Amino acid sequence: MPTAAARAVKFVRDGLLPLAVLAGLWQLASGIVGEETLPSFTAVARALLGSALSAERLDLLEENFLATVFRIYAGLVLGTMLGLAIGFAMARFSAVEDCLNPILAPLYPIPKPALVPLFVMWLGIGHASVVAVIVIGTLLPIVVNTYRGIRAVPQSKVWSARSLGASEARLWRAVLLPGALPQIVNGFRIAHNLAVVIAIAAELVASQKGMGFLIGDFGAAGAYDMMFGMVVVVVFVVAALDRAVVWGTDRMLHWHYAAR
Amino acid sequence: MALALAAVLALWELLPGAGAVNPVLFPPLSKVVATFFELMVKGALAKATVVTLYRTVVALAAGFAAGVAFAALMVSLRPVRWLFEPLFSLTYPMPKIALIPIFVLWFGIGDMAKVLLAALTAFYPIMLSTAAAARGIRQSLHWSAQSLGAGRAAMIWKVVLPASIPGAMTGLQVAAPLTIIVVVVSEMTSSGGGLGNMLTVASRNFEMGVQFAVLFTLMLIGVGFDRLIVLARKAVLRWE
Amino acid sequence: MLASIDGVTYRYEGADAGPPVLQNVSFDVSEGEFVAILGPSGCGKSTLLYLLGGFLQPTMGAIRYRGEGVRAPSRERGIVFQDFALFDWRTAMQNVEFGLECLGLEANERRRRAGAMLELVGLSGAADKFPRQLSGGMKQRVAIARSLAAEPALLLMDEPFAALDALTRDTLQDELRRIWIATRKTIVFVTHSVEEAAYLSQRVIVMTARPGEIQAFVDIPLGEARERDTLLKDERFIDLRHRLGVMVRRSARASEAA
Repeated sequence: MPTAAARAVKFVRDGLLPLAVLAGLWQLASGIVGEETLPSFTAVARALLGSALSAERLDLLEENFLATVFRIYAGLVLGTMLGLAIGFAMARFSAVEDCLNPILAPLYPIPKPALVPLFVMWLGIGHASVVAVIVIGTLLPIVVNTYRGIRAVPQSKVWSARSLGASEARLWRAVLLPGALPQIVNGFRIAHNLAVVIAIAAELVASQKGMGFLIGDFGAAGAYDMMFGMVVVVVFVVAALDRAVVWGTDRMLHWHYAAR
Repeated sequence: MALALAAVLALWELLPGAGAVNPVLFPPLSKVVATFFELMVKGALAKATVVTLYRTVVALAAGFAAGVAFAALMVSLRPVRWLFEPLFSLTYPMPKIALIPIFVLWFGIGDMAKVLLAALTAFYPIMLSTAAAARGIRQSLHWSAQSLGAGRAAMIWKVVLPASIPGAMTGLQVAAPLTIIVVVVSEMTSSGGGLGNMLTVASRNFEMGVQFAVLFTLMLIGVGFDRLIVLARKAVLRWE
Repeated sequence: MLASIDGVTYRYEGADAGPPVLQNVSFDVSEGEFVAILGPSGCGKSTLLYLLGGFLQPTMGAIRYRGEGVRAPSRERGIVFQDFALFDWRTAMQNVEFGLECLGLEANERRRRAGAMLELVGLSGAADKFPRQLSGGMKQRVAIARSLAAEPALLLMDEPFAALDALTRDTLQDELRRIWIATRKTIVFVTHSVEEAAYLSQRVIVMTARPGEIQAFVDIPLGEARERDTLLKDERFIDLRHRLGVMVRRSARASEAA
């Protein structure tokens, strides 16, 4: 096991240093193509720092950040719950599967952001329309992965549980859910990614308040250093959210395996 | 089985007609189908489809070439790997569509911005998948090749590259739907034709029928690409 | 003398404590001989093979081939692995042609030589099949043909038949002996099977584990023409098998106790 000190050194050397070099290259590049095309790294850093120190700016950023995050997770949670329910039902009752498959199947290949104008039409501008599309977008991968995960549990396990007298509820709790969990978790990660994409896309497409919207807004106002700065912020925010989900789901799987 | 689907379609036809659902906001199925054919005949749908398809195909091809080439670099040159690994890891989850304003700033509102951004989107999963396949080559394969007299160039050309192609094809399959999304969304946010553009224009003019027609077309495109890539995989990887 | 291992010790990188994988191992390999390296798992016999081949470098000591130090893999030292290591994207014929391509031979000549090799291992009919379509035994034949096509002087074999079922293994053992007599290559054959070592080789190097050291050299004076059914009842064979078995089991128990 590498020591904490060794890990810290590795993080700086292989994590921060390359990024620092790339920042340096960025600085050089903006010197070559000009600040109007590519604001320099220092200009962007200064703009972001300035925003952090301006209460008004901070409010603006916070408002938009919360808007985006709210939509993502409201949609994701709803979509996951629906997706799990539908996935379970489809895996358990072939009648449900036969029923719902033809309805869900055509929805998969549609790029979900393309549904945003339709839903804005039906539900108006604002959170509801975006959340609705995110719900649809997230429930689909959850349904697929839940269904597959449950179906993939070896029949031998199901039979041996039944032969030991397991009730339906017990079968689900002790055999099917644990067996399907890794696959369901995989579906959740995909759904999370998709939720972020839909949220940002909706903001760019329908001018909804949010982080994606700010990027375009700063650009329209000619504040290119803030525009690039906003992109950098989005990169870090999304990376952090993604890491959090991976870490959280890893812990959940770890705990789940340890408990068995 | 088809009963449920038939029931849904029946409701789609009846509810708006009966006024239970606002027919302006939700036209009956018959009207949607009629609009679809009308657009097909007029050629507007076909024209927009061709534009979107063209951008998607070019973006996928460019992303594939760049992804495979860069994967080769990442695997064989340590400094390249060191420099770019944290960046890719950091930026992979970010929706590339957030870069639309930047690309428009750099390349204007024409094809270039859309195709380049979509190519960047395709690049990520293809590059990662190819690199993973290249790194995953068994030791025994490497050593066998060496004991058969393969030098560095022969190793890359005859062993690493063919062993990585399955990874590249898997990456392509993952990249296709992402690329379509980026093309369509970038068309939705600016002018320049394509299905995304048709969608936003229709939504502004409250032309629901057109929107459904476009969504239906997008669905067909999504399915089509997936099938095509599966076929391409079978053709290229004859040995699987 | 074709190759020699001279006072070789081998440790994994960064593993400075505990017994080394190989400790002070020395032996020679004569041209044209069929020598087996026998021992329990963990005794470093595969590592020894990889050192001979130039895939690994010793921590201490020297590996020599025709008097020169071995620094890297070479066409002169071919290798056959337990997992066959075939190139899945190439047909059997194309796999065998690999080494010939690296030699720069042109297409017709390559095909001729590769075809001859496939015939030698009895696989002419499967030339255009992909590895996925071949059985384990056939795959290993292709691997052997591929190595031989590059015309090495030394053929290193790392438990090549361990992944095959017993009947296929017997068949391939006989095939290997036939090929050896026909081509007179020098073969170093690693195995954990006492019977396989005694049946195939002229000399067995018995090893112990943890650390890997040579326990004994045992000659197998059973002549060249070996017929399995006769040999199994031959007293000398039975005796050799017994002696080797005792040695291997003793060293296996010792290493487990350690």
